[in-house]
Amino acid sequence: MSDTGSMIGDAVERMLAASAAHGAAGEALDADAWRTLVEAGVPRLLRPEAQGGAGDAFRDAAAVLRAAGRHGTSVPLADALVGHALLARGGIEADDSPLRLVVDGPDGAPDPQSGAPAGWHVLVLAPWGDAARCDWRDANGAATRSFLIDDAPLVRGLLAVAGAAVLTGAMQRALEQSIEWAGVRRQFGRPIGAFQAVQHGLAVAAEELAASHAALDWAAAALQDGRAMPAPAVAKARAAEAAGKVAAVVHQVHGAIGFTAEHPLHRSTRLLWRWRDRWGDESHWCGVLGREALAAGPDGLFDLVIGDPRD
Amino acid sequence: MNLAFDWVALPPAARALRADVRGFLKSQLASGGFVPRCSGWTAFDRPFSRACGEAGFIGLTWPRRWGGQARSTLERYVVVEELLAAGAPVAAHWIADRQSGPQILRHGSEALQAEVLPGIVRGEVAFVIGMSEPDSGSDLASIRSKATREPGGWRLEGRKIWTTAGHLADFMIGLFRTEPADPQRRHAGMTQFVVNLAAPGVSRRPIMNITGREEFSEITFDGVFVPDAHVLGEPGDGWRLVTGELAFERSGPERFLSVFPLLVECLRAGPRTDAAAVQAELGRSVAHLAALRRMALSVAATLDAGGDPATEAALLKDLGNALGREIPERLRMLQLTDPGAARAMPFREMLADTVVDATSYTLRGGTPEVLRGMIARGLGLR
Repeated sequence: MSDTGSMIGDAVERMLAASAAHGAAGEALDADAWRTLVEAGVPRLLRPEAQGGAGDAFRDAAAVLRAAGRHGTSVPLADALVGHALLARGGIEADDSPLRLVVDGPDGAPDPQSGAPAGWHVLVLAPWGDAARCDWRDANGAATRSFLIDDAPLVRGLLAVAGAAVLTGAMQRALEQSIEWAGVRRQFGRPIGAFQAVQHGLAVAAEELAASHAALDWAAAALQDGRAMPAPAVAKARAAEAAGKVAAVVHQVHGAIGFTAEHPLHRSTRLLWRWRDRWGDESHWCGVLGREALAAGPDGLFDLVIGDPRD
Repeated sequence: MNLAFDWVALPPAARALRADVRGFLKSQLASGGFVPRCSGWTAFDRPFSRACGEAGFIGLTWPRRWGGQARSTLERYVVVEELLAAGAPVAAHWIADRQSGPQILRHGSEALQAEVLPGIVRGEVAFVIGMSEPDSGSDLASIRSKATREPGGWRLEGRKIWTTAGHLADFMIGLFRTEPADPQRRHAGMTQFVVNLAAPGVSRRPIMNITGREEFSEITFDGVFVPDAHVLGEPGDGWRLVTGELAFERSGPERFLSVFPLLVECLRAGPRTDAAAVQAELGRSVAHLAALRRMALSVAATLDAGGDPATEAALLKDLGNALGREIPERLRMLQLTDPGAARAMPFREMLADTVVDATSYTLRGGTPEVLRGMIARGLGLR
């Protein structure tokens, strides 16, 4: 499943596979990997073509973020992709410094990643109303700008798709590692993957990944068509729920070795635990969908599940 | 690990077809043609299936010479999901349309196709699945019912059980031993037959289930003659055929839409719209159903392209059945409406029935224990 279905997704897959993994995901910036991505123009993918991007290439963005999630590289690629899409709409040219996107929690809860290191752009986004409010502070701290984006549903959809893509990639890697480990680690004279209890745990994890992946592909295609509801909300709600289940299975399969800081498994599972909460957790997105369901009523409920007649 | 759930878009013709089905269902409901229920695909109603046949909703993908419309699997998907979501009683044509007809198209003789397919398309000929036996459930390869050679055909002896609509339908595609069991080659020596259930030597007994319905049955074969033209594929090749049939059986939307009518009834009961728990639970159901629907569409497209999505179908069924069992349990905890409210009664009655019926979701058509083993094999673990 290394084929992401997107040329730029495949390219990012190769770039990140080639760059050595430094440290634990989410900690210090992997400067080499970030430089490689910047040189290829990846963080600016969602800017207009005139600014070095590909416009609203949401399917490509999802493929790129799935690759990033899969490699667990310490680069703020989701923040940068979404951030540049927003900054472009605000008419702001920003340099290629790393970017931290801080999303006001839907209930006023703080973003679990609200701090940003020195030298990063910081974009604070309040996307839950009719218009999305953005407050930007330049990486060198010299400039600040505030602006509104009218199409708040699209902004919310982009947040949901980006988060679901990172989660799906991270789940994929965690499961791949676990299948490999289950074939190598031997107990009671045979590989632990030969035990039915272990097989069934991994099968359930594969189901969660497959459902998340199918929802993500649908959501990215829908967003590409300008339809921000319900598919993106479905994708994030589904992947966020799956993330916790998959993390539990893969750690159980790995045993004590997976609980060590040295083992790379937690690069994936830390992404799962962080990204299921960032930019709206499953209770938030299920709440959004539930209000849509109540508004749709008994006769409109199935249309909500379908999403669009073309789907 | 290579699970194929690629994104697909519905063909433009599917849109008009969906409107046709909705129009049909609306008029059927208005004229009292059916009462919505969960698992409508186990509710056997010949007049309703004949109406579906007249409306052109059966055998959509089949060749025109048998009454089909040569449409794509994705177009058929739209029809079946609308029928299920509406809780329509489709059991009298469901199995024939879903798996028996396609199996006969792939492996049956021309004469057999001419004999049964046009009747299925009209909604007049009902099929059942002849797999389980009293001593063979999940371990299907252990079946003992057998067929022995006769001039011009075969003679059947044995018993099938838990056969949905077995006492009501016209034909069975049954798996029988045509060679003695060989422990070294467990999957060899079986053959699929199309058996006329009205033939001499067939006796049928309905079995009441814990919902109080007679939906499944026991069928005994006592020297039943089956002509050569009713053999599917080559004698001895039955295991390969039956696993192919199971991919059709397991990949459909009935595996997760069986409880959809309960969600509709829940909304009709007027739940408290301001409660966060109600919103979250309904939204979670929508998220899970929508994700499963995308998976089912992908599997339909794979089947259309001639692929073999056996692992994907197993995965879809396991996930869908788990959701089907979860939804009634979770809705139950919400105290959605004032228990005494009259408008809540249909919901409460359907909920009570579905809680009981849902027990069967993880039994019929492959248990989680078997399906997860298949998925593990697909992951390279066995």
